Amino acid sequence: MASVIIEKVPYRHSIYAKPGTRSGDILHEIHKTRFFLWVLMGVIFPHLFHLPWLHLAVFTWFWGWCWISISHPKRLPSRFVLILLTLVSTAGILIVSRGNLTLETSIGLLIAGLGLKLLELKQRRDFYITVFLAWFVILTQFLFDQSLWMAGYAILFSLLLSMVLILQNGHSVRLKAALNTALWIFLPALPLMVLFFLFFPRLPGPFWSLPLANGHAKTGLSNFMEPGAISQLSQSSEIAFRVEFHGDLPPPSQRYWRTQVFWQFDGRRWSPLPDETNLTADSLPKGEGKPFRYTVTLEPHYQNWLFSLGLPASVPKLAILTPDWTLKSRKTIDERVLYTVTSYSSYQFSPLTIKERELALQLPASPSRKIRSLVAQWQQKNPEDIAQAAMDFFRLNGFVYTLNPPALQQNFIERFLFETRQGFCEHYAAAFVYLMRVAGLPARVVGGYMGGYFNPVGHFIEVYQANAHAWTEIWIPGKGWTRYDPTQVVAPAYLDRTLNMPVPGLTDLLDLHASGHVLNRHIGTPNVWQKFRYEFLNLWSAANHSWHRWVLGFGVQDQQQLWQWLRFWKFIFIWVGTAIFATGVIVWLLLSRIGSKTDPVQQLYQKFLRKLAKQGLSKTTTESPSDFANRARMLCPHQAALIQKITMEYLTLRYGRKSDDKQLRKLISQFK
Amino acid sequence: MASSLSLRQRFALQRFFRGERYGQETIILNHRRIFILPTKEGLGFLLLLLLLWLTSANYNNNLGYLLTYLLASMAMVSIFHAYRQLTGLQVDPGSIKPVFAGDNALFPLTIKNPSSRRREVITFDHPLTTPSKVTMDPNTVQTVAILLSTQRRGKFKIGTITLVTIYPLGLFRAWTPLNFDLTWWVYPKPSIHSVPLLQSHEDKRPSVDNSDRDFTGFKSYQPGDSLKQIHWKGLAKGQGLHSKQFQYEPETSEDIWLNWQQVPGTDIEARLSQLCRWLLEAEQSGRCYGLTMPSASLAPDQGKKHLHACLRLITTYSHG
Repeated sequence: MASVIIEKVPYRHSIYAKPGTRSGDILHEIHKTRFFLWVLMGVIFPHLFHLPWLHLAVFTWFWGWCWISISHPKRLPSRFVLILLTLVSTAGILIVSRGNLTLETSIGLLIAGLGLKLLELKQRRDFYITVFLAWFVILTQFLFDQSLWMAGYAILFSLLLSMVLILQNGHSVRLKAALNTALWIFLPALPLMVLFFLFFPRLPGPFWSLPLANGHAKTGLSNFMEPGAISQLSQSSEIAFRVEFHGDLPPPSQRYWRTQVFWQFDGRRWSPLPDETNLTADSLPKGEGKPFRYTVTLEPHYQNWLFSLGLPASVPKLAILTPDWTLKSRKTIDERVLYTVTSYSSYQFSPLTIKERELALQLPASPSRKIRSLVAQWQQKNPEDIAQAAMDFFRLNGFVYTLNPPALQQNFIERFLFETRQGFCEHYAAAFVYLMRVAGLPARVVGGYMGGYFNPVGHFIEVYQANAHAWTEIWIPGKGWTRYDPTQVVAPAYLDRTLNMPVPGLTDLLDLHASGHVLNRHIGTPNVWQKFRYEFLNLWSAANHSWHRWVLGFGVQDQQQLWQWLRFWKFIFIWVGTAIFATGVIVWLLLSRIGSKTDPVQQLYQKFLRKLAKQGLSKTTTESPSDFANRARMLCPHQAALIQKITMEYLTLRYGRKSDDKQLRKLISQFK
Repeated sequence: MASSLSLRQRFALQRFFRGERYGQETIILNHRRIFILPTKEGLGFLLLLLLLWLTSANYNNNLGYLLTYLLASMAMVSIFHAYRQLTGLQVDPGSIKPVFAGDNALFPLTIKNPSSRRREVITFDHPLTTPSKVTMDPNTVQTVAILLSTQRRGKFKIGTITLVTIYPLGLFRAWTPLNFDLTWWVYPKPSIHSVPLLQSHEDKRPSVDNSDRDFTGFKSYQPGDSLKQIHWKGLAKGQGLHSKQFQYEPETSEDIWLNWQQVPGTDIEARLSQLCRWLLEAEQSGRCYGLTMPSASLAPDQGKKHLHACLRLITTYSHG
């Protein structure tokens, strides 16, 4: 029963093999250390996509050195060499980044430090420093990538790092057992983590800032409109923003996400008003008809634009209103932001001012004769008819919507209207506004996004970069600024396309562009695989949106709101909390009572005692089983033999070598 | 039992380091006896958390916050795991046999792990021993022998044996101090160089020089045997420690009286060592022997019990 185990050998903390130690010991350690090294490699891996190659090469070099040194400790660098390596690798990293202390450089230095630490894992302390550094490296990856994938990856590697610690502290723990323990640390930690996340106070940053070396590639719209600016975007499946509607969705034909207004035309390029321009800019036009309230989750685009459905009727905190009634953020959108806006289906405008009219009629030069004669055909009509006539001109004269129109350098508008007649939204919007201005109608080009894919799982609209679009607004006396989209006339399927866009498969879309024709998609019934893929993409997209909206978007304000909400429901929470706690305690007590009786032999004996107790015989705590049996035999003479047998059996099972309790079970069941 | 502590006792600092006093009874480790504080690595981890948190706040990075809180929560859960490493263990102290100064005393602790959990690396620590580490499989009983090194003679209390574990993450140290109120004896070290036993009568004991006596055989070594008597060759062959036995001249059956006053020398410890050796020799001779110390005196007798009584008497000799 008793075995003496004394381990007098103090635990080795150095990971490297020492001459003269038992081989079994070394193998065990090597096995652990190799595991540790693989985990570290995994921790570094995602940086492959963000960091210059040298930073990773430095780490990999030290990593490999450590790998070899596990079995050949003589290969370890001396203290002098170690210092030299530190200096050289630091210098190398700084040179590659040309001396700029950017975020990438500092992470590179961190990783190099982690690699160097691998070469002096001598004490327990060194080991812990390495693991802690690895955790810090995991955090730095979130500065580049905050996707769901990355979160899962980080969780997995946190789990593996805690396994490394368990292996270090345990005595020949198997990997599986370590994983088990790690899971039992990890799983109960999850609810705690959520509570921390929701309630732990936060500080609004930043306290310091390190610039990114590459800067952020600006995606999305540009600051001006010229042919080709938007067509590049139509290849992009990147999300621009997501919109959740509080209430009804607007009809598809109204899903124009307005963001830029272009007034000035120089013959080729359309630009917005200079920032200091002061239009009369009285308050927002009054909304009429159906209000739509919606929350936009905007991906960082490193510009100031905010998007609204048509004209905004309210201005969110982070935004200012421009004179041409678009929303602009107060600061550059360099992180995901959320804002809520209300828009109406139509508006009541105050009359156009002289300055506005002047700006909306600006032309780079006097129009050519051809254009003048075209416009002259419509001159007698009222403004709405003129606009309609221009639309009809596009519809009836063989205009083609294509993303690869012939390049036009000189006389862009005229050649487009009368020669090539091939173009995309920018061409049509530009030409339409030009014609309207020549006809004397105030007009402007509007840029933004159109449509968006409605995700049926998450009930929100996803707007992709590919949804970028340009359309026009012309001033109709009595009605105000009215939206006209000449692209729709040329390619009626355009709306359909923008509504169903990238999710079901971007490749289909690209094929359409290549052929230069717009066709209806989904020809024939999709097969099971396509259906499944469609469902999966919807689900994944919805998960991503929730992730962005509720996890990554959770900020100081949400936290305050949560507190207010909790204060409101305080009493209910106190009662429910108390109830849950009390239930938990009771369940725990019951379970622990059951758990304490795990010994089946003891349980059987207790059953026997209960049976005797019914006959008025109870065992005192000080009485030994045999003493009690003697007493019981005298008081129940008719079952004396059985009592003796049971007691003997019990004692053999309890203190002897026997372990099969079948006999005891049988005897006790016989006992009345 | 938990109710027997007053508030003041409960928060006495001594409980955390020395532990409550225990006698020979079985001790079940529970929340009252287990204490948990961060280790040095745990403090380092706290620093890491602070760094992670500051970085997350700086970049307003919610995933960073999540990682920080996950690690903090895992550390907290590991406190509970550390507690579960020790709780429920049953510790049964054995008795500790007297030894001569310089030898190692052996204190057996029987540990029972009645649960179905494996207990990883529990360190048994005591100021007089090098820490021993024990891993216990589910539902097992182990006896941990704690070797206490001795320097001085005397009557000692075992004092505090601390069971420590830092499993699983090494960030928290759970410990339970078991302050055993058990005494153990360290007798004076028997002198190596024997001085002939002084007799109160003129009758002289034979010289202890072995060379002029006849070799009779071996017996297993007993403390106090002269180093010259040890059968070194046998030991080298791995036959264990044996002493050579020599034929004594026929001995008188008269009682031996050992008297502190008669022990030669000035150094008290050396004299006690000499006396100790004489006692062992007297016991071996098979004759009755008595002992007179300044504090008390024991009537002539023989046998193990008498020998230990004598040894205890000389051990308690105080310098004053």
